[in-house]
Amino acid sequence: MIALLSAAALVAVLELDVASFGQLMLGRPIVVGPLLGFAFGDPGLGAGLGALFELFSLGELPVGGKVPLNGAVGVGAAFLICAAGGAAVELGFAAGVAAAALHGRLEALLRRLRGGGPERAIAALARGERPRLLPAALRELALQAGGTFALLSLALGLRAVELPDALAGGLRLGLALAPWVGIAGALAALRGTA
Amino acid sequence: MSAFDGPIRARIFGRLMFLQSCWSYDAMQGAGLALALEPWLERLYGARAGEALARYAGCFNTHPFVAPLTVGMLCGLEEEAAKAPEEKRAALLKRADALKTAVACALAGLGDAFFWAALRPAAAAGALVFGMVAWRLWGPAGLAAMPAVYLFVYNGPALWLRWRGLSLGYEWKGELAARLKDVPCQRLIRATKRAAALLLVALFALVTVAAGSWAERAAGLVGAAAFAAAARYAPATTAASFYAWVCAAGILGSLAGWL
Repeated sequence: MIALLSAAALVAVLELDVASFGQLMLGRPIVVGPLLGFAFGDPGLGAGLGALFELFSLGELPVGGKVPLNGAVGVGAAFLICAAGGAAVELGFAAGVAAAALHGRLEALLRRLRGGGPERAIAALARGERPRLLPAALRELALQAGGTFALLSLALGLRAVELPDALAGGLRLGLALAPWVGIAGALAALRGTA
Repeated sequence: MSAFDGPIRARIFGRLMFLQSCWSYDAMQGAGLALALEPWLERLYGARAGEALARYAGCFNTHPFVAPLTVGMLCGLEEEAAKAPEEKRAALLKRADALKTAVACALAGLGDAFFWAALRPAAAAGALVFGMVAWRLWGPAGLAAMPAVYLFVYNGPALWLRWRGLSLGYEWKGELAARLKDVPCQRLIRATKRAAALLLVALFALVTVAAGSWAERAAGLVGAAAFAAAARYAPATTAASFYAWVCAAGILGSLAGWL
């Protein structure tokens, strides 16, 4: 469990790279997946999940205020749910998608809570004070990482879940076809942004 | 030696990593822009840097990798204004503010089109193809090549532009837009997208060949064709393809179990 929570913490930090800090692509599923895989001695699982989440997220462009599917949280949750004798891969994949969507809501909430910044900054400057920008940025990053860690920790509870056969069969079929659909989706996204 | 030297550029470059840390719906990257410019404004205005910072308290948004071009331009324009006589300063600052918004919007479109819509799919597809081949040749250890190739291919041009953009924006100042017209951006975007498409087709072939059985291959091809048809004739249904895919798989499974 300590190893899983440590991995969740690592994913929470890497997730910051997706949009909030750096953007050195360290938070992309194609990086996070294999990294987790090698850490837990299952590179095939990590790379496979990373590849799927990467393909499906290629069409999601973070333009303007849009919060796209968070591939880092998706692959992190998926891997942590099924790694090292956890739940079935098809459950991990589906739960990863749900976690990625939930994280989008969390990020949108954090962005709303930051509202009023310009007014506060101007008011502070009018009082002759300098807004402390770097500490404010670090505080926001810590808050976001904390929220991501909490979400991933909750997802770990799904490790003990056993799916009913009917649902498992369908999700297994979906997972088996996902590589082809993911590539088709990425090609469609390329065409759509032409 | 120029005032906009290596150490100050390094500080601004480092602070630009926080450009989106305080992203909000009203100011967007505004707080990040102020954070990045703070060292330069302190150098130009000293104790009066706070007044200069107030000019950057509003809304600002652009692609994060092309933001250094705008930031470099603003550094150059602020320096011009700081050195100008008092009576000309207001007009120069007004011009800087107008250029900030215009250049940021124009560059955002280019940045989104190249880095998000072209280079990212190309780097990912190339890395996935490389990873699959490496796995065949070297076993699971070869999978380490996947993220390595991706990071190298993507971050090479991205980091180059993020660093060099500061100097270019500072040198070109108000002529930034005119100078960028000489760069064949659209040709570069098209070429990168073509490369991405070719690599994705190669990946499709590799995945099909590597499938466990002919039934799996056939099902995969049917699934891809169904998705392509949906994307062509009902694009709204594929907009949330990831979620739709998982929900459809769950429904299929439940139906299969019931039948």
